[in-house]
Amino acid sequence: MESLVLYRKYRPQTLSEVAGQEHVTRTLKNALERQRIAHAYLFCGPRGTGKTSTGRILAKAVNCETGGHGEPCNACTTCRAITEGTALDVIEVDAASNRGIDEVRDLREKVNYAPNNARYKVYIIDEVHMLTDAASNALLKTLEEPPPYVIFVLATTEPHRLLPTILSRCQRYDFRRLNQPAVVSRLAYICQMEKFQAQPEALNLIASSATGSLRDAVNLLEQMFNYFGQHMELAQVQAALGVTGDRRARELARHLMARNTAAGLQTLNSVVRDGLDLRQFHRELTDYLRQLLLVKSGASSAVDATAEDTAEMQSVVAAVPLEHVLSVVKITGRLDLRLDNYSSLPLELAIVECGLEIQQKAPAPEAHPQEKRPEAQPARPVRAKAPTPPAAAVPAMPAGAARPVAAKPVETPQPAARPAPAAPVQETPLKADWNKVLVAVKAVNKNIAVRLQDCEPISIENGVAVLGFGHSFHKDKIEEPEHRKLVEDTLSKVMGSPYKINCTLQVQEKKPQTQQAPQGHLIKAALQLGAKIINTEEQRHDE
Amino acid sequence: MAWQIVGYNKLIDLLQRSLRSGRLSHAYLIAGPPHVGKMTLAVGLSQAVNCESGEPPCGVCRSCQRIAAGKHPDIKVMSLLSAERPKEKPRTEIGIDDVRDMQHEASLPPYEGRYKVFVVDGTERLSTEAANSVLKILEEPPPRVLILLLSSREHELLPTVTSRCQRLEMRPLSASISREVLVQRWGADPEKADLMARLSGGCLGWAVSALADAEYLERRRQDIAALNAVVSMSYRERFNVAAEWTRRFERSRDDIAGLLNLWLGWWRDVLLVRAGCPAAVTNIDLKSDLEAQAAQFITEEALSAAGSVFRAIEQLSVNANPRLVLEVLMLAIPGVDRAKTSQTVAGKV
Repeated sequence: MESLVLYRKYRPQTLSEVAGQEHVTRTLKNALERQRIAHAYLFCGPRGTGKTSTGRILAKAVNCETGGHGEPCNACTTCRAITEGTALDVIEVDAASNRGIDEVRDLREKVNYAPNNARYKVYIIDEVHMLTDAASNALLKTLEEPPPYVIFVLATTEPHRLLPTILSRCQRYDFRRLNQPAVVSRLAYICQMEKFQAQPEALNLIASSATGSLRDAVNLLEQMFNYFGQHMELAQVQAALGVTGDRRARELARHLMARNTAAGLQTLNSVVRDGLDLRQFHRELTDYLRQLLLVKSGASSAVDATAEDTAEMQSVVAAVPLEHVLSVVKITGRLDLRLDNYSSLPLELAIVECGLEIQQKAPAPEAHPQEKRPEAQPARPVRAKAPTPPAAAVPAMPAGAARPVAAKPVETPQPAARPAPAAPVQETPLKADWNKVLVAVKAVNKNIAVRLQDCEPISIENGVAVLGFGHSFHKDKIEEPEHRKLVEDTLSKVMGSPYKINCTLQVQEKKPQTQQAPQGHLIKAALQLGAKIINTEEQRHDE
Repeated sequence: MAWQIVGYNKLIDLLQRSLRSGRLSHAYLIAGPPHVGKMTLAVGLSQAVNCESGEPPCGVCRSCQRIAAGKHPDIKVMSLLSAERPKEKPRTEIGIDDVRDMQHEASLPPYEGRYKVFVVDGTERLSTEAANSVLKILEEPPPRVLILLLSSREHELLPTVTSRCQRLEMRPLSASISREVLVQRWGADPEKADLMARLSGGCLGWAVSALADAEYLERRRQDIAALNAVVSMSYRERFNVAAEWTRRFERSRDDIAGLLNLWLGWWRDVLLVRAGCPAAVTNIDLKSDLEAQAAQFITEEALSAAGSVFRAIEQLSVNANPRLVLEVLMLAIPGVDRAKTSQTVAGKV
């Protein structure tokens, strides 16, 4: 390679040059100044934080001919040889490739030879977590008591994979992810040296997308400069990193809030067409939705935005119920756009789901011209509950239907949830008031109240309330004149007009029987295939 | 200019500038979905660094031609297909021995070219040991060595590997660009090109091979017909289908994965038609079928169907029991005759 890549060219050559690891470099510098050098160091930390570089600097510092104050001079022959990688006494071992016990035996043998011309023989064992167990164990004795002229530097990104016996024999230094200012100042230094001109914001963006790894950051910087030449601006970096700018993310958020599925899909479509990074887009969308949620729940001050932005957000969410904002945030937030997935499908599904959420909560805005089966939706609840004969032919558990297992698979809970709101109109007042009746009865006679809990008001017509009981035992008790009178009086009081009650036994009594011995070959087949009996209705004409 | 790759002008531009200024990195990670053209780019880059003419890659000099033919001694491709035993079954991972071979070869100067190029096809298939042992050479290779890592599953790579490379991301092309390229370069008729561009999901390599395969469209039509037959089947019949698919899955995973992806695309289209965004559909040639199916299902059903197929594909890819996954899928797909019955019931009520 004619010219080295920047991350190799600008490898730090002195301890003070190692960016963002002051806790490590200061300790090492002090130790070097006082000539208190340990024989085994372990450098661990995430990628691109300076482990190998520090190891090489350490090798130079202990061997530097001018001595100095802990820092290598980088001018003497030894220092230069180490920098170039030609020094005989600094041995860099790739433990991932030489991971077996044979390589370690070989190393143990050679450790015993005195250094050629340097003061110390330094072994830098990189990627040490890849040593096999046998090899690690073979290393233990040497690592604990090496000859006086040997220093081991172990470097790894995964210290948890090392043997505890290895860990306890080394001085451990944990390298941290670099904070953003440290990365930016290093990038600025490189720019200055290479005569690049870059906007500080652009460097900030690069630093933040490198997540604390200097090598990643320098790599990105180099790529940007290869791409844009000597001048680099924020907008260019944004474009190259696929940062979309928040216009369309906001647009989509507005459509989601306004329940406009079609427009939302079109927005996404245009984002895909322009080849933007969907993951980044999703992040921005979620972030904006989160802000909307904060604004909606009255925590505008917690949002880090300008006054105009906040006002805009307020106008977006003003007419939207909090539950909807919350559910949209939840749906989009739980999406996991994996790195290799370039498909827009997860986002599309989420957009449609956000639209649906509303349709369930408020069936009224069924206004899409594309809804081609509007009558089907109200039809389903009726079919599930209505006691009229034609519907009874297709109950939720269609014993008589042609398809044995037409019972909804367990995964789709909608039908189960839906009947309640759309149940026959007359039943609703009774159901609503039934609890009041229960409370009133309880005040008079707790025993009866408990028994009443076993029953369910079925219908209320012409001043007669039909109560369906699960057990004949309770039904008989309620039918005793005095109890009957108590219930009727309370009911009349609550409803505001005189009522009689008519006690019947309900299907629930049959339910256990059905479950124990399912009737009919179709039901049996259905059960075999994994169907669940959710509800059973009497169908005399069927049986 | 003879880069064989179309639609990635930005990447080419970047590489050209790096070549000219002598700032080429020693390691690149080329990431993108399958069939998007990663290998084509890698071959182009290998030609560019070894080209004998002044306008690399020229594509006509001896070196370029030999690289294109896969006969250049300095270009090494590591993949699941073992180099020594090409006839054998593909391995499941690339082992540490291949990496050791590569390290050894990298230490030797190029035979006749300017650069030794190592292409790792399917970097995510490197075993843990192999991936770790590639780290040192990836960071500081000997001079005149270029390492190209190709991967369609970038998130499975070690962060220490990605951090050492310059990343070239090949995002899928937009449908309009793919269509144009198919028409201009491969002479497809515009309507077919439009369909292929949409079906390919932006992966040109796939579109081109599908164009060349005369029977592809017919097969696809049959597949879709078979898939759509499922919605009107009884559960018993569906379970038979699941059993049959399981057998096919055991023979060839890709077969069923392709089928399910087709189905996923179909349900997505149904959903898009229902949601009022028909411009984005994939299966434009079967629009009338799509609309018919969209009329049969409510949006929730289409949504849950698409979600179920999506989950099934994911589960199969992480080695779930295929039979269970497919049976669960069959249970979750909404049925069409039930929808019809409910319609008639609604009519009566």
